Amino acid sequence: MPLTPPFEEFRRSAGEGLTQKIRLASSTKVSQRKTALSSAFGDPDSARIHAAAIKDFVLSNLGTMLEAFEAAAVRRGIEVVWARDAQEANEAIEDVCREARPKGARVVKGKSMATEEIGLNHHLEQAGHHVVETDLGEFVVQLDGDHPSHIVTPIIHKDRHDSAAAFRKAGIVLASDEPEAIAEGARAHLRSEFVAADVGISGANFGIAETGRIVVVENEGNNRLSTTAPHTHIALMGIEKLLPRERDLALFLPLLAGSATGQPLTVYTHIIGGPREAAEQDGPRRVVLVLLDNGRSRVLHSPERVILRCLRCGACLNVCPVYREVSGHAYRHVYPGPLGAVLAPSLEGVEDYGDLARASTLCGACQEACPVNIPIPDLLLGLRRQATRQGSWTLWRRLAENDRAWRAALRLVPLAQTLAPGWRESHARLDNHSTAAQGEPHGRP
Amino acid sequence: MLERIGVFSTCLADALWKDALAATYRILAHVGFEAVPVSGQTCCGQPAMNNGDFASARAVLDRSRAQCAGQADVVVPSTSCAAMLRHGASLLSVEGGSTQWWELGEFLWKKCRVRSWPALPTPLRVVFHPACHRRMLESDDCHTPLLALVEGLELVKIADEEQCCGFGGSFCATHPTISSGIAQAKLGAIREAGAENVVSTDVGCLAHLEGVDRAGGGGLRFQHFAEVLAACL
Repeated sequence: MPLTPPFEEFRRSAGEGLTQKIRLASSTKVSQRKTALSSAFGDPDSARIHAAAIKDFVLSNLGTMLEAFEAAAVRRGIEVVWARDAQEANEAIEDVCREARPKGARVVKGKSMATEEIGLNHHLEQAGHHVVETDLGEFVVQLDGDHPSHIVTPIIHKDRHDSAAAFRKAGIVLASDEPEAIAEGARAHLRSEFVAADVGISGANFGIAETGRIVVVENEGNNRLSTTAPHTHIALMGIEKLLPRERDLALFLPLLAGSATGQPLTVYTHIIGGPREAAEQDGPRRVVLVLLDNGRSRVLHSPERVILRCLRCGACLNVCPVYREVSGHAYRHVYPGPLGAVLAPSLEGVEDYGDLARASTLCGACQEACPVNIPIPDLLLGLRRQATRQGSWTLWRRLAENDRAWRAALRLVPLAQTLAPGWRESHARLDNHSTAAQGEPHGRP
Repeated sequence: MLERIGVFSTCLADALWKDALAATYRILAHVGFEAVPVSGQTCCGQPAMNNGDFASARAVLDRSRAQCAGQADVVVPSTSCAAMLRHGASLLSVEGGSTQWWELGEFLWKKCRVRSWPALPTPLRVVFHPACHRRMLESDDCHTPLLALVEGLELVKIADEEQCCGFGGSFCATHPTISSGIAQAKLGAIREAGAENVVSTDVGCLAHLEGVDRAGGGGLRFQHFAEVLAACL
C-alpha cells in the first residue's frame, strides 16, 4: 500500500464542513478580485506583467537597492537593523521592547505574516512582554491559540459563531453573534490596549528604495493606532519587499488591494516616514525597521527566485482548487496555498516540505491570478524534480520508447485506474466506447 | 490532392475514449485534410515530468517530437498533451524541429479559420469545461467560439467555471479524497445550472468527472469536444 500523503490525510480528517466554508468564501473573493481589477486597470493582465517586471528589477539589483533604502531610511531617523534569520530578528525586536520597558513591555501588533514566520509572539511572551494582536482575525486566532489558515483572511476557517465563542471564552462581553457586535466588542477591548501600549509592531507591504519610507496597508485602523500611539514603532520587513520609487505605488497599491480583497484601495494606506519630528504633536518617538533575510537571499540564488516577487495578496489561495478543499492548515507552514507550496520547500528544503509541491493538480489558476505573474506551476515542477531521483521512471521510459510495447501496455490502463477511485466507475467505458476501433492503432477509422 | 496532417492520438484517448479519435479524423477530413496518425507514437512524456523525473520525461518527449520530424503541422486532441509538447518542451529544454503542435480546437479556429459549422441533428444543452492546461498553451479561447457556431447547441454557464476538475494526472491516485472533492464541486455546479451534457477537450478531465459522477449515482453525459463537432457531420 502506498503511504497516504499528509495532505490527503488532512482532508479526510477535516471533513466536508471545513471545505464548504472555504469554497464559499474563496468563490466570493475571486469574483470580487476580477471586478476590482478590471475597474482599476484598462488591461489587468498588462498591469500584472508590468508589476512582475518591476519586481524582477528589484530582485536583480537587490543588494544595491537595499543599501540605498537603508541610507534613505536612516536619513529620516529610522533605525535599521539587519537580521540574518528568525533568531536575530526576534532578539533585535526583543531588545527594543526591553529598552521601551525593561520589566516587560505592553505590545500591540498589526497583522504581519513575517512576524508569524519568525514566531515573534512566542519569543516576546517568553521574554516577559505582553503581546496583543489587534487585527480582528488575528485577535481571534490569538484568543483561540490557533494558527492563521489564510495569509489575508486568517480565520477563513471559522464562522462568526466560532469567533463570538472565542471572545466570550476570553471574558469579552458581546451583545450578539452579529459581525457588528463582534467588532464593537473587539473595539472596546482593544482601545485600552492601544492607550497603554509601549510598543507597536507592524509588518511592511512595501519599502521604497528611493525615499526610505515604509508602506503598510490595512482595513481596520488597528495598524494606524499600533504605528502611531505607542512610544516605539517596530516594523518587520522581508528584504524582498522593496519597490524602486514612490510612483510605483500607483501601480502596486490598487493591484495589491484588488488582488487581495477586491477593493480599489485598502481603507488605510500608511506611508511611514520616520519618528515624530520636533514640531509634530503625535507619532512614535522611535521607529525601528528590522530587515529580515531568513533564507530569502538563498532563494534569490535558487531556481525558485521569482517566488520572491510575491506580494502576499492571497489571490493564489482563493483560486486554488486544492486550497479550497483543505484550507491553509494542511500546509503545515506559515505560508500556505500555492505560494506556500513553493516558498516553504524553497526556504526550508524539499526534504521536509517537498510533499507540498506534489499536492497540486498543476491547473495554473494561481499563476493566472497572481498580480506579479509568478509561474507557480513551473516552480512546483522544478521542486518535484529536486525531490525526485532522475531516472526513477526508467521502466516507464523504456516502455514509451517502444510503440508496440506501449500499445500493449495501454490495454492495462483499466487496471491502473483501480488505483484512482474517481476513475473506478469508468471501466464500463472501455466496453462501451473503445471497442469501436479496437485493434486499429490510434483509432483511425 | 488533400494536404496531409499528423494526429498525435494521446494515451488516454487511445486507452479510454477512442470515439474522440474517430471524431477527430472525421472533423479533419471535413475541413479538407488527409489525417494520418504519427507513426510509432507513444507518449508526450507528461507523467514522468509531473512526477519530477525530468530526465525520463525529456527522453520520451524528445522521441515523440522526433517521430513528427518533417510534419509541418500535428493535431493533438488534448489540451494537456499539446501543452506538454509546447510549454513542457521549453521547460525541459527540448529543442529543434519545425513541427507546429496544435490542440484540435486551436487548429480549427486559428489555422483553418473555421467560421461556420453544420447544425446538430438534435438540440443539446452543454456545459463546456475548459481544460486547465489551456493556460500553458497561451492561446485565446478557441472552443466556445467554435461551439457557438453550432446551431442547436446551447452553451450553459456554470458557477466557478474556471475551476479545475481535480484530475491532475497521478494526483487523482495519490490524493483521491481531495481530487474527487474538487470534482464533486464541479459536478454540483453543473447540476445547479440544470445541464446534462458536459463537453471538454481532454479525456483526463472527462473520465475523471464521469467516474466521480457515476460513483455518486449521477446521470450526466460526458463527451469529448471532437465528438460534439463530429455529431454535426
